[in-house]
Amino acid sequence: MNQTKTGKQPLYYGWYIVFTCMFIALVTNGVRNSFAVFIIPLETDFGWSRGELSIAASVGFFANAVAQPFLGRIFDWQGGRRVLLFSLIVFGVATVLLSLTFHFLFLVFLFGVVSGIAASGTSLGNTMALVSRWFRRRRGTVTGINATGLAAGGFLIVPFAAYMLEATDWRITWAILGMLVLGLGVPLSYLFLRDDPSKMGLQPDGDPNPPNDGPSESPDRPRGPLEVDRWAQAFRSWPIWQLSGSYFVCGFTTSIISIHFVPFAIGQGISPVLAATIFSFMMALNMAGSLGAGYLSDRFGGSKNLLALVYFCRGGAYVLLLLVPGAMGLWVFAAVAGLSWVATNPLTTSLTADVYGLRALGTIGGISFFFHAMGAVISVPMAGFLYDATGSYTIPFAIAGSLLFPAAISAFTIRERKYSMRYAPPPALSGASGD
Amino acid sequence: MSWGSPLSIVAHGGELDVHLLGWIKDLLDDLLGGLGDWGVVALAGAMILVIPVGLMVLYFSQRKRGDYDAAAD
Repeated sequence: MNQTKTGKQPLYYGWYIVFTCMFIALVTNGVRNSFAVFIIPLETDFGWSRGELSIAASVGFFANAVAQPFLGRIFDWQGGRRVLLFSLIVFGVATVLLSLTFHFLFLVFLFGVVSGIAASGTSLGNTMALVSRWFRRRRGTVTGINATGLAAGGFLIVPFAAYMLEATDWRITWAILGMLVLGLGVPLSYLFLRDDPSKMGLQPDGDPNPPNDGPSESPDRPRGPLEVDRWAQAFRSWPIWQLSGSYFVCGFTTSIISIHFVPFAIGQGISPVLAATIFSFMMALNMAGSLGAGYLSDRFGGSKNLLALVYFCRGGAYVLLLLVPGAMGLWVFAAVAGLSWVATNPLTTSLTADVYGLRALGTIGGISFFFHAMGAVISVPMAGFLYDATGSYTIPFAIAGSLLFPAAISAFTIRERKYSMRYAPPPALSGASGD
Repeated sequence: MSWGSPLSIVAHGGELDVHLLGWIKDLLDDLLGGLGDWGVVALAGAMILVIPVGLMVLYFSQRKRGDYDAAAD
């Protein structure tokens, strides 16, 4: 594809993969996050309590977290195109069928179990594993672009659902959200998603094919000393535990913010609307943080240093939040936490791919995301219980902040130059290198 | 509201999110209220369409030029 009929260099096909994966993240996360929009209409129509409806969301959260490693394993086995397409179809059909909700168990089964598991198939763990196959030098940048779909979904799909619900009703809104997935996400994925550049006669990053070499994997591709064929091999080395441990802290600290930041701000004497404004500002910075971190890791290298910096800054933001009272502390925290919120995703995924290779990346990424989810599962109730017990968020926020500094050290001490294939010598010289 | 209820707070669709969404919607109403419900739906819908439509236009324009004849399949 490097030669064209017109003589102009065409857009490298990998970019279609990247923006399709970003769109998948946008629609699936947007639809999942829209659940809150439906709570009041469902309460009104069926008389269900807020606690009952939360069960459906909780089941969905757990099903999504637990299924990620398994869907990642299927990704490694069957290829990304099949897993993403099938998951999107199931996700879209389940969303349309939610418009027929007539019983609480129907909602729990469809939204909690079916949609939750299907969303694992389209998760960032899988889409980032796919885009990592298409890019090597720009891996941080493209995983960063992929991750912006998370925030974009919240900004576009949730308001879309909220106003659609006001203009119509909740049944029509569920159906339209499902049609959005089936009518846009599925065709786009069918048209563009391909598992591997080598199957299209391409090289990662759109590099020219080496002379006298077929389109399959180039023999001069650097191979890292920890590159694995099976996911279990990765967990016999330190970097994955360092990455997953810090990712656990990431889930722990971002989830506390997402649930408890606004009540904390209101407790500081801030009006609810200003608290929501600061929260929205924080979410808007997610995209800048994700793009910036990915780009910087490609431009300057040293992904683990950036990752450590992100955790360190977030820890510092927590300290400021507790020490600086009023709106000033909240705005500063929102700026720093907002930039760091999603920045860990591209850095962790690209570093995992660079250290362990691509063959088991779906499974390894799924397990890392599971650690992230477990951080959320523990932190949010813990903060709630401590707030109830002490009447303040000081202790839970102090715990969150203090965990971020060991997470920064954990990331910083990853021996990236030794293990990452970005720094691996060419094969001709690699005989001397080892573990 | 009980911040300590694990069922309501483990889920991101818990009690708090309803209030937060309400406040964010108030902000949007202030910003875009003149458009009406369908106006905001149309605006958000158009923004959602940007990526898929943009990708398809770009892809088919390049395919028409013959850039992806061999690559697409």
